[in-house]
Amino acid sequence: MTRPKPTAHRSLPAWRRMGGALFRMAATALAGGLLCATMVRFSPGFGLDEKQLDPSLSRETQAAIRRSHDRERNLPRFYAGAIKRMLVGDLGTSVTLGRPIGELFAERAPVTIELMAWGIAGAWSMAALLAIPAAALRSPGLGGFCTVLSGVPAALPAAGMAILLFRLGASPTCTIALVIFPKVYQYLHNLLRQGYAMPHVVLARAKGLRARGIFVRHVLAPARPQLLALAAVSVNMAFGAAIAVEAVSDLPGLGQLAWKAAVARDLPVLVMLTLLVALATQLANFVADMCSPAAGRPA
Amino acid sequence: MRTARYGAAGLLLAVLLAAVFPGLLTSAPYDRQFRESPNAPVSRQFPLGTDELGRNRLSRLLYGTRISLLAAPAAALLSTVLAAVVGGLAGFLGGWFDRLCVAGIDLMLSLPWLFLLVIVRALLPLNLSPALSILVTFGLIAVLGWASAARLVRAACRSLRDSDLAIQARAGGLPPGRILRKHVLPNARPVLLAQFRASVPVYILAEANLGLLGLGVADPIPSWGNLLRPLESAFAPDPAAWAPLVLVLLVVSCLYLTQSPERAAA
Amino acid sequence: MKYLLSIAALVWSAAAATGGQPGGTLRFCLYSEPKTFNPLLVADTSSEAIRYMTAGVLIRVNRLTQELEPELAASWRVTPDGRRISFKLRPSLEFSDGTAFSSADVAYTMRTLLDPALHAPTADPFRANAESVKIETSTADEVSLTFPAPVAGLERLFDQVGILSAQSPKKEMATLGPFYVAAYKPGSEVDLSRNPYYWKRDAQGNRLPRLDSVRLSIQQNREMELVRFERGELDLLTSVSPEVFERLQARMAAAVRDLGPSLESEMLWFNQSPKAPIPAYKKVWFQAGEFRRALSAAINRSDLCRLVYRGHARPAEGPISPANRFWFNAELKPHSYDPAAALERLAEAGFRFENAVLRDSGGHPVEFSVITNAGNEAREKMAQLIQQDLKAIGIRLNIVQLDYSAIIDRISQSFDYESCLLGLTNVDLDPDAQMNVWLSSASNHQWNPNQPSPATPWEAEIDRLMRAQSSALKAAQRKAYFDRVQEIVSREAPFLYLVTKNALVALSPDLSNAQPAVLRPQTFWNIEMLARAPGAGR
Repeated sequence: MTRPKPTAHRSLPAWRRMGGALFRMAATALAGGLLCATMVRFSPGFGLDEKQLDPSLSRETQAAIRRSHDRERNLPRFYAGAIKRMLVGDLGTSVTLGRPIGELFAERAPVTIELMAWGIAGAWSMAALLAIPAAALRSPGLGGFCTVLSGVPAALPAAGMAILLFRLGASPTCTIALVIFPKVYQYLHNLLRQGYAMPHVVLARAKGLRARGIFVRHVLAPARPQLLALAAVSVNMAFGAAIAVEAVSDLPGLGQLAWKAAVARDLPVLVMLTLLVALATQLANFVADMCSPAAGRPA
Repeated sequence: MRTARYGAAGLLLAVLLAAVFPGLLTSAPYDRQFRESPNAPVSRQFPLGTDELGRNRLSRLLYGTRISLLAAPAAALLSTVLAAVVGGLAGFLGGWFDRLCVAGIDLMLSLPWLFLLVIVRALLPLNLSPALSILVTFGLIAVLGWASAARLVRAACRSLRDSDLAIQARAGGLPPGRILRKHVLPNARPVLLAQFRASVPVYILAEANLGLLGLGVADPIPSWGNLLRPLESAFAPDPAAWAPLVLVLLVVSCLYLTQSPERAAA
Repeated sequence: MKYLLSIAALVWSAAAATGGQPGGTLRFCLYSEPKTFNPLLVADTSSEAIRYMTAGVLIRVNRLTQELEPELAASWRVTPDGRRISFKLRPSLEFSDGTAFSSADVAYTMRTLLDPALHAPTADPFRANAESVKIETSTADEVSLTFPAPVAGLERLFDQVGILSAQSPKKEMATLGPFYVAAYKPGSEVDLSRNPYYWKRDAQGNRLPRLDSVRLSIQQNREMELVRFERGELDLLTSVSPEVFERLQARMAAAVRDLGPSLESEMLWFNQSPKAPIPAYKKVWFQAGEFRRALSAAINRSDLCRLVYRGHARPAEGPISPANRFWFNAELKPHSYDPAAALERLAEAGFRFENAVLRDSGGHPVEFSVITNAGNEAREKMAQLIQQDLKAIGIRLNIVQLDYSAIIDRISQSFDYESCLLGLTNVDLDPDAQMNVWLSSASNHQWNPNQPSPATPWEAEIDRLMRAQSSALKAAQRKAYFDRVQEIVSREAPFLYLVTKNALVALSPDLSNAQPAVLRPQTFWNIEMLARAPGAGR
């Protein structure tokens, strides 16, 4: 039987495919920014300040406070202006902190990136440490025990975990790792168990092939697309966890900035953060897709 | 292992029955405040003690179980189904549809949904019935929680799109929908099962977090999520306050154990 | 050797005599990012804390005695018509960068402060602008200000006005207070260093402040703050919750202090705005004084104090706390808990109580919602206790917790709420600062703001009394007017005052000369006198 022709876009030159992907990423990110701006603009409390509850302020001062948000009220004009400024490298100014957003990102990004990187590494290490033996040994008892163990951090509030670990002197990275770990473990364990249950793997084991070789070539390799997709999704999970952890631990990262901006309805910051997160998410997923086997080859 | 599965199923049933018929274990309603006995220790009258407002912890735990045990798995199931549908179709059909779905999934993962939740609360009436509040809360959790699993399902289905298996099925005259349902999606079963299992405890906690936005289960109705909130304190809460956590772990473990490993690995 | 030992003993005994050894760093937390270091633009608590420790003021309110004390102004005089105030400044003072201080700096500060374009929150109480105020500097040490109209409590307002240098190249960063801002790491901490030119000396003639520096960590999470305090990484905790207070008391009894009633109270009010998008029959309930008074009688304030605040609160009498010694109306009593009387009042107002449900004359069951800000455990618990109290008289109360921005939107913009449970902090002792609450035309007249004309005779009366107290010159007369306002508020119950919280603080036992007070800043109002106890490390 002849194999069907590969899908049309695969016959395009690599630079065109790359260009198309980049264009799509930019367009998606811009759409995300607009959606974010719309949600923030129409959420209750937008354009208001708790200073308005201060009775010592005069009517004129209160009116001035309300006027300070006028630039953001006209959503299309605000967004068009924000994109135009962004194209020349100006990310705008935070309404609540009064500082250039670019400066805020530059200061805070290293904190968050470090936190996320170590958190993801920790989560995957813990997940692998439990999932590989549980799947390879095919022991229901061990698998059940590891599964239950992975449920413990999932059932604890992230804030409580952060405080408990702080008391024990552990780094906030551990909280991020523990927040991501249950999900990564669940996926990893199930994928590996599926791999070990494949008939050809059972046969290979029966024939006495080396365990390491079986694991790498016959269990891990077929699961590569999903593992890579999971790795990419971990980035997003880590950022979500970083918001909670940085807010509780008062770490001056992007997560804390996101939380403060959300509470204060700081539209310029939220839009830029969404653009950044959307681009990062898409980039991570794009890299995962590129590293996966092409469609047509079974996993 | 079969014994363990039956045992787990039995335990789940027992918990469910206790939640539906709490009167078997305790006489006090969940909202009654014994104001002369706040933070009472464990006793015959209060098997798990009382909370700061003098409410029977056991009553609240049982009643909260009724809500969380039904609503959280239902929301997890819904999000899993959504992940299967979107991820499966995107991976299997490919082309522009795949690219559109991928963009949608990435947007779902990137947007600050907090504001949508705030808007939804603003649109709902202030005097919301508990049933509607629970429905809206867990519905929102499910609708916003499927994206990461959809990515993984897509990856699984994508690799099978032009596989020998799929080619043979198409050559045999099977319609694409049937191929997807019968031959491709089962390949993503481990991912879907993992999504379901991982989501249940996460959604229990998410409900408590939504309470901070005016959604969630409103006081005085208890839920596992709001019963777990005292664990955020810097001080070690009373030992009895850990009971909700123990119950959550027990129930979640039972849910895991009731899954057949053979079927999961197929 | 003997010589060195005797010198050391001398220094040590001197330190002990003054209550502490010089040097060291004071460490505590700010709960949000400071928005400005310009003392004139301060509008948030973090910026205000920094201003207090760095900016010099002409007159200071002693937080303990609540009396006025001279600071940069050695003396002052207010004319009988209340329009002019003259200051005699201390001579030969310098800013933290060595720039000389003079009357020109006071004039510059006041002109800048009162500039309408600046919209300085601190300027509002003066109710004047730079053009209408006449500022005269006859000598380098004398300055007088003449306002277009009498300003109630004029002298006290200068406690909030940090003096800027007209000449220093460092602008607002040059300070006259005990410290200056040495470093600022956004999102992390602010470091203050001792002002080498600070003018104040202690009774022994030693230069102040005693501390070398202050480290302010920006920490929003109170739980983390508590853990750090227990570890000895922090020296002060303010606004400690009752649960934390009791647990700290068990572990570190010497560290905690209950200072008695604070200026903070909790209250509940009903939406009486005619614009509110709520059913008309509910508006009739909320606008009826009998309904409000009945509900007030149905709430068990003692239980709120006991269960929510663990005894560290008292039932509130009215808008002014007993901690505000001069303005508190001692004749007022808290509304007593009497559900039977509540039902009688409701019956008189046409409600009937049948089958455990209260219905109005139209047959509608009495059910309404209360909004409060999520994440505030005390308010959540109070709402649940009130819910049960009202259930006993057949009222169904639905608790809705919202994030703070959503609450502000509902109570000040959309008016889409039925009742609200929030707290009030009277930062300023003088009730003139509350004009915008009591005037019916004002935007902070929470239950029915921005009225074109008073909706009720009692609100018209309050308007008249508040304007009268604002223009009266004698303190006793002003008090009489405001006492009357408090009586009307207690009778008509537009706000149901629930509890007045106690001020609970924690201080490191290593600190000496700490004299916490209920007025803000509670724990470090005498920062220049604070020192580390002899033998303390750090």
